[in-house]
Amino acid sequence: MGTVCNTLRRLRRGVAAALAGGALLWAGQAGVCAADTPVKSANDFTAVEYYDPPFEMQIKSRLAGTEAIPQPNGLVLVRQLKLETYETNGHPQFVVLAPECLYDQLHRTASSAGPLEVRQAAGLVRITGQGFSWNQDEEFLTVSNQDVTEIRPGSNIIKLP
Amino acid sequence: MKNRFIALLTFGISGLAILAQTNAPLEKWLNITSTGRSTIAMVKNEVTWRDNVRMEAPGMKLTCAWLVADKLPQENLPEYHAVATTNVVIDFIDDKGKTNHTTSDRAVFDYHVQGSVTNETVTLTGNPWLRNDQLTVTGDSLVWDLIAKEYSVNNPKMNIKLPETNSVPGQTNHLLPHF
Repeated sequence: MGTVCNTLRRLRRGVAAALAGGALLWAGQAGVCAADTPVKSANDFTAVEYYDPPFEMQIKSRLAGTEAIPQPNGLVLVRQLKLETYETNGHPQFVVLAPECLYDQLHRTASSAGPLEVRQAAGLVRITGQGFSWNQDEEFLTVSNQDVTEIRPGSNIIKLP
Repeated sequence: MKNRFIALLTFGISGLAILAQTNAPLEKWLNITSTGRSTIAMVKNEVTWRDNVRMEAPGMKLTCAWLVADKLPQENLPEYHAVATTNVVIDFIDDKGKTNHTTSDRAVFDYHVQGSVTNETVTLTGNPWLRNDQLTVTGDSLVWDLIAKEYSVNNPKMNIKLPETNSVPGQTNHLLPHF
């Protein structure tokens, strides 16, 4: 439990990484008291980014997965990725879904060569593609290949016959 | 105003009836594809598509090299704004299958509500051309007002194909003077 507290304290400024379900994953990865807890993976992984002041209480993005497996070079393999972004008023913006990705906690980036789906929270825009990279600080997502964007016909969108 | 040709017609005259919209909801989604990397700036709510961008919506096909949607429609805020640049080609197809082919360097799609007034336009600039089976028109800019069902051309130059019954042999195309 001390491991969890130390980890959270360490990540408090800028990024809060909440490690649910035992939360051991970071031990070895962040160099935080890993020696005595050689844990290999964790379930229900979550990493949260907050806005800078004056919205420091507001979540900017939440990166979650059903499983997190430590990889070499400080990377974490996240299964069943669900990335959510929020506006400063708390309204959800986008949801990114992918079977898996590699999360770099040091640089706060995530990437994958696999498929992904991006949904606008309001539900009108959906983007699918193959391969992506995500910069958590800049909230910037790049879809590498085969992107297909679908915009649901709203009452006022491109009202052509 | 003198140099501005406003086609108040509901395009019946010029064969641009394609813009006569129906209020029926679209059945198909609007699709955008590209061969380059697309990027999403989530904080700015902005999406950029690159290279061989294709957009298909009912009654419209767009191709361009670069498309930026800097305002995406949302459920409670349907306003949108997007800019297509470089080799912009838009084909509007009316209910009868008639194609209105446009080319330009840049096209700006804009939908916004100002007070109680709704504005939805497509503005073509950079050597804009519109061609269909009845006319060819160019000008400094070409603006389609999708709400009012009319378009305007700044400093227009037109080529109208006169109906055969009214045409003089050998003069089927008549170049109109500047408006």
